Amino acid sequence: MNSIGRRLQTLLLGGFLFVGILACAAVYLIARDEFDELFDYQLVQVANALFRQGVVPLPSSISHEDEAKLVVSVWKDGKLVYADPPGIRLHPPRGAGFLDLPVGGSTWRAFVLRTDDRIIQVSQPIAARRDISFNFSVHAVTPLLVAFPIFAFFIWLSVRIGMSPLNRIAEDVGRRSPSQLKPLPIDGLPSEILPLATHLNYFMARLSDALERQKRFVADAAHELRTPLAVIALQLRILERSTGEDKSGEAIDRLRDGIRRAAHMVAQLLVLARLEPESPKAFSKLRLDIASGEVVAEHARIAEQRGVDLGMIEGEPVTVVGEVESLRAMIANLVDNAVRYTKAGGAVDVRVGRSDAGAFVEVVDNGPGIPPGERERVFERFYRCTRSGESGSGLGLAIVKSAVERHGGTITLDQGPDGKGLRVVVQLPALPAVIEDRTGSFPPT
Amino acid sequence: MRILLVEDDSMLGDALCRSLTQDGFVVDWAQNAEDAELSLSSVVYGLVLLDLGLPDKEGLEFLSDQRSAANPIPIIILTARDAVVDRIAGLDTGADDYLVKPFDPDELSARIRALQRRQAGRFSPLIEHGSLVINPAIREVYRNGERIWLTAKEYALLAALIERPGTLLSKASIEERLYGWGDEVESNAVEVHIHNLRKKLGHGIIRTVRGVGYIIEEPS
Repeated sequence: MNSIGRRLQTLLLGGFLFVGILACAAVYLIARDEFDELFDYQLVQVANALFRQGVVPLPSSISHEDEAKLVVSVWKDGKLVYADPPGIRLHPPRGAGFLDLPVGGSTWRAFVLRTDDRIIQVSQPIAARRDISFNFSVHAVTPLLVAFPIFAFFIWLSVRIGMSPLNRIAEDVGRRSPSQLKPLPIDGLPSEILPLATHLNYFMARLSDALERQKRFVADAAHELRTPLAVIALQLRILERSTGEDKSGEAIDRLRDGIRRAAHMVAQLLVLARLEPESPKAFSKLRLDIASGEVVAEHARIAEQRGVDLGMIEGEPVTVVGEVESLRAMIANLVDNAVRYTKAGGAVDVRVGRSDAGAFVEVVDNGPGIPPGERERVFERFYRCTRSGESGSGLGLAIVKSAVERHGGTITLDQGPDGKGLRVVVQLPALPAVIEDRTGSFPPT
Repeated sequence: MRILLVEDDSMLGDALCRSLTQDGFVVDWAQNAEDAELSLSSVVYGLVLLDLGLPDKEGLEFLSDQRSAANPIPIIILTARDAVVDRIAGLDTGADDYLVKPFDPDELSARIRALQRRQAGRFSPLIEHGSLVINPAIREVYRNGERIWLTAKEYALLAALIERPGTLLSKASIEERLYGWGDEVESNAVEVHIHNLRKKLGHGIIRTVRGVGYIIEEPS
């Protein structure tokens, strides 16, 4: 398992063990040097004592000290006259002072004192010295070995305590249902976890916003579909009860209108849902002037039926990068609104061209316009102008605004050139004219 | 009965007018609160159908205005707001009933009839008067168990007179109940309808008070 806690514990305990071994080695080395000095001094002392006191007796406390394994040998005129312990018979040494002697395969340390006729040698196997230093070292580091499990426990404890805020956050997040997007409490969080919690909170806030928007959208949508459905139910009943071919023909037409209205509402809702900021963007190049021309052509028939003169004013070719469907829906809703709210005999002009900001689409009608006080609110979903009496979806300008914002553009509402009607101008970022020329034949869809 | 429909949606308003007219109601349609207030001050209506989302005024405000002006007219709210709190607010503000869109048109008519019945202080869905029995739900009239066929206007006239027996209705107020804004009214239309009704129901049921109006006496 990949666990920060376990990794910390392993590293800390491993480090402790390593330092412990190093400490043992150091203690042993230091102890060895110190003991060498000490035993050398002892060798000299014993030799001097023998010299002063004559050959015998040797204090048993020195000669029989087991661990030190001192061996005293005295030669007189080349003959061994004294040995302690008695069994060990060494050869007389050559030289005087401190000597390292090979004795039966191992090395002994010796101090040799020479007089006129005697040789006094106090010697000791070096291995004995090493044993003593080793034992001493082991004793010295024993507390360290005992401390190891205690230390391990404290490491475990501190890792656990240190990780607890993380566990608390994990538990908090784990316990939540998808709708519980309240921010995590960040008071008193350690600085290592604070960024994580802060970003998590920021993320949840955005998620909560998006969810809230979706919820409101679904509620609004269901709500707004009630009226067209009520219309359909009523018209069906009228149809059932109407007698005579003329009347039922009329009733069927009205029923069809009602269904068309509900279908239009659903289509607009879908367009709007696709324009949600969270939905993925699929941008490509679009000739705005050509697309606008097509939209105008699509609305020509309905404009004619309503007695509205709909047309395009010659502009310039301009290419934008954007979502083809969104931009077409944007233009279609602008044109549809203008045609819908303009009385018979009115005119709707569409113009596309270049501006400082890039590209612009301008739709001007000479209908009733929108009072300045309402110009902000008309972009709200399901807002309908007072006294319009129109049975639109109430989504047209909301779609336009969403599409414009999705493409980083701006939209302004104004009155028409002669102070009447409505003038809508959408500004969009456009490709520079140089690129324009190369993509002049770029297909609009 | 003459109904004032307050609804801003043109398609729904149109369909409601037609549907209610088919059910024998006379409907005037106001598309905003201002027009509705004007109509209420000039015409006597039997009932108001009120949409809550009006362009110039909140429907609830319109409702509470009417109630604080001590207008006792039955009001049914027709709305898309279906939350329980909305229903409670609507009823507590003074509505007599609350219907959520999309409502069943037959249910709407039934609720209108029920309110009408309560308004008249009746318990039975049938109106009985001497030898006459009227079933408002299907707009049928029987005399001594025999079906009598009436035109829509004749039925409306009989229903208006018989609703509160002993109450005298002037010719003008009968005209008001029988004809909506758009209807052409002949000057002697009421007299013609009374004449035809008497022929079908027999004389003696509807009494003329000369120069004042018409009355159906309480059954003895």
